[in-house]
Amino acid sequence: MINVALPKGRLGNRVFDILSNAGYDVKEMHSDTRQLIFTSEENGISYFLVKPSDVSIYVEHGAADVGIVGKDILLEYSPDVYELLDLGIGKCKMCVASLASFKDNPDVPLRVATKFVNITKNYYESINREIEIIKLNGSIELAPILNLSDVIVDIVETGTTLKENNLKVFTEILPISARFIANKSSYNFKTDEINKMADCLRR
Amino acid sequence: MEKYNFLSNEEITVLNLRSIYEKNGYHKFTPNQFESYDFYAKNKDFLVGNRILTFTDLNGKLMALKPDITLSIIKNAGKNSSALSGNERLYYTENVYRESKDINEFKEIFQVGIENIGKIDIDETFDTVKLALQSLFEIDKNSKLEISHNAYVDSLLNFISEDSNVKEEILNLISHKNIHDFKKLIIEKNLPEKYCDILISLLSPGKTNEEILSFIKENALNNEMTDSADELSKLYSKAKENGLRDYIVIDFSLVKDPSYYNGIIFDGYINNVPRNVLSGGRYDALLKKMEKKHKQAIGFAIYFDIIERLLASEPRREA
Repeated sequence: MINVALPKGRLGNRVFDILSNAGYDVKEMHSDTRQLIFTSEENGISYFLVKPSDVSIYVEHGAADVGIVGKDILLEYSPDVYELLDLGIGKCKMCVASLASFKDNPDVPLRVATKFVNITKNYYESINREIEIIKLNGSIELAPILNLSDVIVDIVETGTTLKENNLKVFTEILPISARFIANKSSYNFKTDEINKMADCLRR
Repeated sequence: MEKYNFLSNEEITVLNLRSIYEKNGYHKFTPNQFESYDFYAKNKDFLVGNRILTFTDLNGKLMALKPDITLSIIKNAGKNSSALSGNERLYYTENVYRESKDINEFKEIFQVGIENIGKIDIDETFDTVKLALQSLFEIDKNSKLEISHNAYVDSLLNFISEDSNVKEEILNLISHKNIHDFKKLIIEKNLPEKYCDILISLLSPGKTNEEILSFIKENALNNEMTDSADELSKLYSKAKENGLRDYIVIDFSLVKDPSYYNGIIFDGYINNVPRNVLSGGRYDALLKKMEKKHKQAIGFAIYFDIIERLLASEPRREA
């Protein structure tokens, strides 16, 4: 039995499609339900649907053997897990964005609103820019509009949300995509099973 | 032992481990309750985590609650009279104080461990690995010991890059078995493909222990790497002779700070326990830093904070 933590939403659905086609199917998952755990004894698989940013927690603590998670989450929380595969899907970019009219004044610390405190700290440290971090949990785009911050650091997929709020990408910090991760202990005891699943996802 | 049937599984396990170590010629070491903060500050990178629990003693000196026992043992190495002939073999059962990443607070962690200090040859190395496995079996028979060779990887990294930042980044990728981002780094930093390919092969899944051993031998780039490959092969042969083959996983994604660990390294895992419960290896480089150049050492520690839940959930054990 292999336990998979899937992120709720589009990415999780896509990965489930790939896996179910490769023989890791659970019938109940095709129907519209609010269930969070889906198990097929026959196919030796169990899926948990969890909040995308929690996937690495489930895997690191061994509640799931493997999981699908964005690189942004791995960089932000540095979980002690194996990162076996770049799935090349769920692609987006971690960006610095602000109002189109914004001009950086290097004499004062830059106010940055973000969900990703560690990624932001590391980035500005690498370019030697003093910042003040304002940690938000959602609707990050509001911060520069309300003058809560000068810029934001956030994930940009299509850029539509930014445009609709009159924001512009200033710098692309790094590309993000979905990764296949495994718990280090599980990997030692279910090596072949986990590698086989990685092979299915590689195709 | 009916008289002691109130003992918890954890207490019984500790007693059983002590009995194993005593039978193998190890003596109990009890460190001072506190150490001066300076002592740890000098060797900060050796410690797990960055923060040390400190207090000011009655004379105004900054003291620390021990974050680690190995350093205390090394500091006192050679001062023990039993060390005059042969190796010093010591074990400990102590609390250490470390930061917990999960709760962002200090945590008291109970550890049991052994250190073997003096002259370490392949027999001593195997004895330590065997004791590590015996200790794991004492906790749960369904366990595995991941083994790697830090000096081999360190040498290979020196061929790949001279930049310590790049090396650190590669070490981090290795520890996550992250081949895809390593391939990106090769292009980004223009790293020599010939040497990087060796590392990629080493990390790629699907190789048996035997295949890895012959691969590292064939691809050794200097004498140091050949010696490391030989050492690992000899260790594995000894393990096989002793019926321990199925419990050993040779895995080069296991890496430890090369400024402290310079030889065989290992981590122990138990099925259904999410993190490594045992960590150990050869650490001559630490002795060198602590001005004990003429000595070598190997040892391991078992983290009881990780197994206490497992032990508590089981039926009562026999002492």
